[in-house]
Amino acid sequence: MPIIVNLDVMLARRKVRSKELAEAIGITESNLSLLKSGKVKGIRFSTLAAICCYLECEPGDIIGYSQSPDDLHDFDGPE
Amino acid sequence: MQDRYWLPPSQARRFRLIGALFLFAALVMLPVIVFAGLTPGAYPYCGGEGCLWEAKPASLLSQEIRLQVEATAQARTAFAAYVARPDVRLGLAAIEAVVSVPYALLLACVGLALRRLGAPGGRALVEALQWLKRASGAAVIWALASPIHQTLLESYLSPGTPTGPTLQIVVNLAYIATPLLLALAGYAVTWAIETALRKQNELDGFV
Repeated sequence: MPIIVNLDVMLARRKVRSKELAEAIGITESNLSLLKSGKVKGIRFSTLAAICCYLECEPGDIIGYSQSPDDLHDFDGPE
Repeated sequence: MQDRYWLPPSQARRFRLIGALFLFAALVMLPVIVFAGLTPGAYPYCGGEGCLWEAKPASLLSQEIRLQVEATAQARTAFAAYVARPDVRLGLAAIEAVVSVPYALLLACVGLALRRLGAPGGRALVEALQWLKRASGAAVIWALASPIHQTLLESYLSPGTPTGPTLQIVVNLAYIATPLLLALAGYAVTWAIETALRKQNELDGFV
């Protein structure tokens, strides 16, 4: 799934440390680390909103997508 | 995390102990099968001389046929001689196994589920649920085996009765319905908890 997480880039741009962001939005540093590395199944809208609010950015600044035709075939549809 | 208990240690110990009792009860079913062949229709009789095991093979028959067997001395002797045959006793043990084996499996699976719940490890609940699912499967088989057992028993003993060899189909829905419903309810509950745990695990991957 070619969803790219650019959170570390935004953190660097805003000169915010991971620990500070984790404390500000109320998630653990390990979860933030997993999010930064893209090793999560998903991100809640509330988490995304909190990150965007703190870093003063848009969701598109944090997550991106690179085209892959396999994504349409792999998609099972919502349960 | 691997050596952590899912339950508080004292409760886990209790679960392991109760689980061991269930496993012991499952093991006891083996002598029960052998006993059914050695002394068909045995039951405890308590009187003035204390309690004794009395073997009354006619008690294995339905009331109607039992009355026919007990009506005359000739019929009683013929039936006793038939039941005393070693091949008949072996067959009776095999017929007893039809209900006793699924019941033993049910007890063993519940015992293993309880033992698993009381054991350390992060996957204790998931693994216990798998054993409970097997237990409910065994309970379904046990419920369905009951009419087969009664049919086999009465048909197998019929050559020794005045009616002669006949196929006696005995299906008592009242005896099947309750255990079957309970077994299916147990299966449904286990399945629901298992599905909920799976969904929770999926959600755990969300931040």
